[in-house]
Amino acid sequence: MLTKTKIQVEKFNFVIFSFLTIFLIALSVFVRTPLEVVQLVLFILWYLSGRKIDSEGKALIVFGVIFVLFMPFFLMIGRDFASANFSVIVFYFLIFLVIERTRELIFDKPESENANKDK
Amino acid sequence: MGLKRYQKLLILIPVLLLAWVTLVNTFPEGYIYTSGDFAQPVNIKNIFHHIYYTWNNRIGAGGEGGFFSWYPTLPYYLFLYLLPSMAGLTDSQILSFVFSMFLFLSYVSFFWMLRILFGKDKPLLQSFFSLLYALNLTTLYFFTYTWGFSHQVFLYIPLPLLIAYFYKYLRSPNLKSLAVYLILLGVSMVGFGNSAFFFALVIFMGLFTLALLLTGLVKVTKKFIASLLALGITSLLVICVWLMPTLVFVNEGITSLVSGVFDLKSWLDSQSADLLSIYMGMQRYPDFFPVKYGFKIWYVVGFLPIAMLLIFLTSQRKIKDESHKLSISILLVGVIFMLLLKKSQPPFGDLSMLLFKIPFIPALRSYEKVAIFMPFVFLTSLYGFIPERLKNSAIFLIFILFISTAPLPFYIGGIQKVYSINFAKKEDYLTADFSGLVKVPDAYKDVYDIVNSDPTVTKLQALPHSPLNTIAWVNYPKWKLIGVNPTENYFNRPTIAQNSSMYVLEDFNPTQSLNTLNIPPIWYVRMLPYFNVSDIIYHFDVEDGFIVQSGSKMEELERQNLIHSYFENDFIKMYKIDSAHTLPVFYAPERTKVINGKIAALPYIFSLDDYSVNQQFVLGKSAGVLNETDIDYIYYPVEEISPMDLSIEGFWSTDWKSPAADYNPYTIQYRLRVIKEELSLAKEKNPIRKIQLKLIHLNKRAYELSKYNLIDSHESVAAYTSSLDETIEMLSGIPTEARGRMYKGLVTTTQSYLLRHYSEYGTDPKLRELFANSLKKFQEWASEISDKNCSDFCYRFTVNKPDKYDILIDNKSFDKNVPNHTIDKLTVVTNNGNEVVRTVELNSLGQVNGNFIQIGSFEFEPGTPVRLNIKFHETPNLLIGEEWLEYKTFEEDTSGIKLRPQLFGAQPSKYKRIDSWISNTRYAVSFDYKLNSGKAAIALVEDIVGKSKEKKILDIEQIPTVRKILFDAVIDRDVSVISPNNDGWSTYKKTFTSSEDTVNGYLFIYGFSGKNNFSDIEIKNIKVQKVPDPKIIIRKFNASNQAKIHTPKIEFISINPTKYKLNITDIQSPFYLVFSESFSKEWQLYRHEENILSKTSILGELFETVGLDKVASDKHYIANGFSNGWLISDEYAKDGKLELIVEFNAQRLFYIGIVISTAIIGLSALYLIWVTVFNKLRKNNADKN
Repeated sequence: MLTKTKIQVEKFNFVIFSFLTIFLIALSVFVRTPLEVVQLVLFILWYLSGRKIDSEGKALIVFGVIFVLFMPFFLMIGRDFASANFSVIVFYFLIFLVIERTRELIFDKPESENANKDK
Repeated sequence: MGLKRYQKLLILIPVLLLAWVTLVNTFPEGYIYTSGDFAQPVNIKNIFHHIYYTWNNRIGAGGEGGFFSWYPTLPYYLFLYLLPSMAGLTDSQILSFVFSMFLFLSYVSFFWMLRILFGKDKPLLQSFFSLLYALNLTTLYFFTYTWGFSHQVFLYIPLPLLIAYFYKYLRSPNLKSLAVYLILLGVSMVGFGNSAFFFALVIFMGLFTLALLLTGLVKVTKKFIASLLALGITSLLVICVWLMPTLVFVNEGITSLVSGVFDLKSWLDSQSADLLSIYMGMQRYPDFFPVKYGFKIWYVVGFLPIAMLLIFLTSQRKIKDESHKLSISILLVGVIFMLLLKKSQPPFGDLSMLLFKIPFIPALRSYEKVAIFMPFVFLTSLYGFIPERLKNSAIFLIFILFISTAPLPFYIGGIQKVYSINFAKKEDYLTADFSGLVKVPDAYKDVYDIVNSDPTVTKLQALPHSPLNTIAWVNYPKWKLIGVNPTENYFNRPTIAQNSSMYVLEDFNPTQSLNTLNIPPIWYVRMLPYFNVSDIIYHFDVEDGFIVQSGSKMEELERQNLIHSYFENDFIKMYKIDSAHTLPVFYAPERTKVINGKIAALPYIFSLDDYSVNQQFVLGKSAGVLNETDIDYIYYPVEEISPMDLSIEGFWSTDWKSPAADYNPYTIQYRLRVIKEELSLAKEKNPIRKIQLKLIHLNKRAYELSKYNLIDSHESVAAYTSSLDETIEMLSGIPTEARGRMYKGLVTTTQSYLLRHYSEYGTDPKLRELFANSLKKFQEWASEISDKNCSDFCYRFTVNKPDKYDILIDNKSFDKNVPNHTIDKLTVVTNNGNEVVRTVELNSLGQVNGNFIQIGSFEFEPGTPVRLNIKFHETPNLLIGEEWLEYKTFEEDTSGIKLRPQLFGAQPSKYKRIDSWISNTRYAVSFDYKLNSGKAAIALVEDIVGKSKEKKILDIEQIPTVRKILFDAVIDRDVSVISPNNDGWSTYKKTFTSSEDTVNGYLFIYGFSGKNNFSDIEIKNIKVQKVPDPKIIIRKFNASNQAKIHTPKIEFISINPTKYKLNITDIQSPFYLVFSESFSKEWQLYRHEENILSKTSILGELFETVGLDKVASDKHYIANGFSNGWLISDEYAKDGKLELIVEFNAQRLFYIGIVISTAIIGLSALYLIWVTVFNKLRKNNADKN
């Protein structure tokens, strides 16, 4: 169980990393470089910070919504690098979610699951 | 509540919408669809049987002439094309039918899949949701790109059901699921017409099984392994009809199927899709709706399923039920497939490319093979995560309907009429230059009956060579056609494509050579017998320039009675080849010739007088099978290796461009860029590409020096000079024997780049000096590597047998009006240049042999390189008239005002026409000049016949470069053969080659006038001369072969394109049998005892050759450079007679495959019927009881 202060710190981290990730997409619109390594590192940090406070999954929803809201903006800018960077973040987001959900399945086993049995 | 009440009614909405989509996208009457690699199979009633001949699969796309083989896709063309056609539907109505069936069946398949995987309790939601599978940006991509109307993307339809039953069987193995799965797999086989789809499916299923194990939906038990094994074996049996013939082809070249015979990396790069395109469902989103048509914001709609998926994935607190796990399993595979789709695109493109190093993965190199799975992946996993509260929401249903409008053109109409990859925004199928929907001109139809009713027609050769993009397609701008030629289907005999070539791997294209070679065209007609051609179909609907290139040659052939025209209209002219120049598809040659060297020399060899129709020619590498004493002639075509000259084309080459991005060398970005450059250079293994890369870097360094004025920066200067040194080092590193034409081109390019640096970037005097010094350095190196003994026109060759050889030279290099011809001297040199064997004074030449002149016979030692040097007399000056004419852009006469294009801005110019201007010919321009002040230039201008008939500037050579060198006293540093005399005059000489479709040439001179200064240049002795381009052939006559081979009589009948029966009589000695279809080891000869020409039983034909003896399978060789040849011993004959069956082995396998596949599918169907009936009976009995 995390203490209240710790949760505050983690939330703060999460907000910062979320902000930085989105900022990075915006930045990459102007520098026109994919900045792949930076994106990935930042995304991993964001994901890890998000996971710590995300027992309810709400933070991830917020971030997902921000993405969706941002999307028309990037599409309308219509510059390939903008779209590419946005798409890359979505890709990371998708991969992390799939990994996270698979991890849950493997390690957080519910009581009994009878595989190979028709429902 | 309301929803449930109207459920049965509402469920019809998607179906009605699909009907609307079909209705609103009706295709215009009279039009057919052809785009790129797919042409609608018109005239299907008459050509349908060709679809299942496996042989055609080997030749269909090549230059050999044949119908497409779509043997695994038979049901597709039967149900979607043949039956509708027999029911009376027109070609355009069939398009609508195919379109609607694709959408409806996709919808049904997905709907059924949802019910199997996720239960049957939400029919309304499932019905609406399935609409997204039928109408999305991927299906829009299919129908606005090339493949929608073909079998290529058929797998999209059964895929959901196939995966559903695969899963159902794995979860709970039972016979019923297996039977349904096997039937579905049989149906899916239609999609394996391109084998890569099969590999993609296998990889998908393999990964999906692993994902199911990972997510715990299945577990490894003995039962599971046994079930999987049973599934694998029965699956293989079901696909036998496709697999067995396909394996034969895989066996012939597994690399072509799974790794590719071409440059895989560049193909993968070209097929990479960025992530946004992957989410949207198309390869390059800017090329398709919505971005292409300015509906950019509409992407939001297309993106909504992905956005929903992300939100639903995050909002699930815990993965709990089976549907969640299933969705995750599918998504796991989906993520890997996304990596395979994006390839070299960000993020981490190069890393993703490593996946293609895994065996079999390269089969997924093209976009569609993987992309076809993505809508299923995204939509199925999305459905699995829809929260319960939304599943009964009317708003959510409306929202889904809204998402289905992402491919808006489906709803508003205009597929292929307005929305098509073939034309730009604001164009349509009527206004664009090229279109997917085309109307075959009525004029074409006039010729079909004539040709089809003529029994003497064997194969048609289409002409002229006229590709505008790829040689696999045709381009008929007169009726907007671009792609595979659909009209070939109207003829019942095969048509040999006009742009493609059976010698494509040998770098020789006969139809192209007919256009471009400046030699009498008789060679072409002499070549056609070996392709089994009887008639030529000449197209006038190609771009005009190609008619200019070939028209006069056709007229000449007609004048010489080698071809006879028998039909002509505005679109087509038909010729019958003179019977003296035809051969049956099977013949026994009496003469044999061997060509040691490039087959591209055939036009010259076929111009010789030693030609006879009943012969075969065999490339040196295939000649091992032949009896040496049977060979009449051996030819050694030789290649010119003349010293390098800097031609004008090299200087103004189109590959030159200023670097696109540059950085100030004082920035960090620049340092990073340099590191990236070094890495890319280190990674490049191909030495030629490495040099090309280095040259780009050299240009960048020169540009940076100039742009940032860095002449005083020691580091930047060193970067430039070391780049040049490394280039020279790389060029020196190429071994002498590998220095062919490509190498010569690279040296010329480097020279021209350096000259370009000097002329364009040498703004500062110090910088100019640096560039001039670099040029000098390179020139010195280039002169060192030139072969000192190789002067004037130089050729090199090696013979492999000691004997007497004739040297033949083509007579176009001789001017008949000059008594001692134009050749001054010919020198034959051996032993690496030390020993001069003979110098021939050419005052009295040998006999004229066809279009060649025999220079003499010489003894050569095998293995020793022989060099020929030819020195020509000077050829006449071709500039017409004494006076220079003034080029006026504005002229007025009695007919009114004429405006001509400004050629050189506002500079006044004078010109002379060049006499005897011939396309694709080498010329030299030379003059002496003295430049006193200002700038001046010369230019060569050509009249090109193209679509627009506009004049095109070929090349402009600017004298300012030369002038600057003069005054800077660096005259000896220039590479352009400047030889300054004491009196201040310099000589200028360059060579160039005229374009392939040019009709007139002009030499222009113009000066640049500034505000206060005028150009002051004196020019004398200006000349344009034809540069001789002699072709040399070395020929050895085989003295031991004095007589022709005795040839037996051959009678044959064609059973089908994969089977022939031969009755050979009068066999007295071993003989050669040539069969003019492309070489394949699968063609086999079988000996039969009885007279077989009269046998007609259809069933008997299928397995007739089983158990028969093979004949001469170890003496099977490539004849005529592409076809089948056998050396048959007379021991096989009985009383001088031999009955043979010639069969393509893969077709036998196809027949066996049909039996097995049909049996398994039939058994599965019977089992299902039995189970259903049995269950029903049992249920009825139970009800009664």
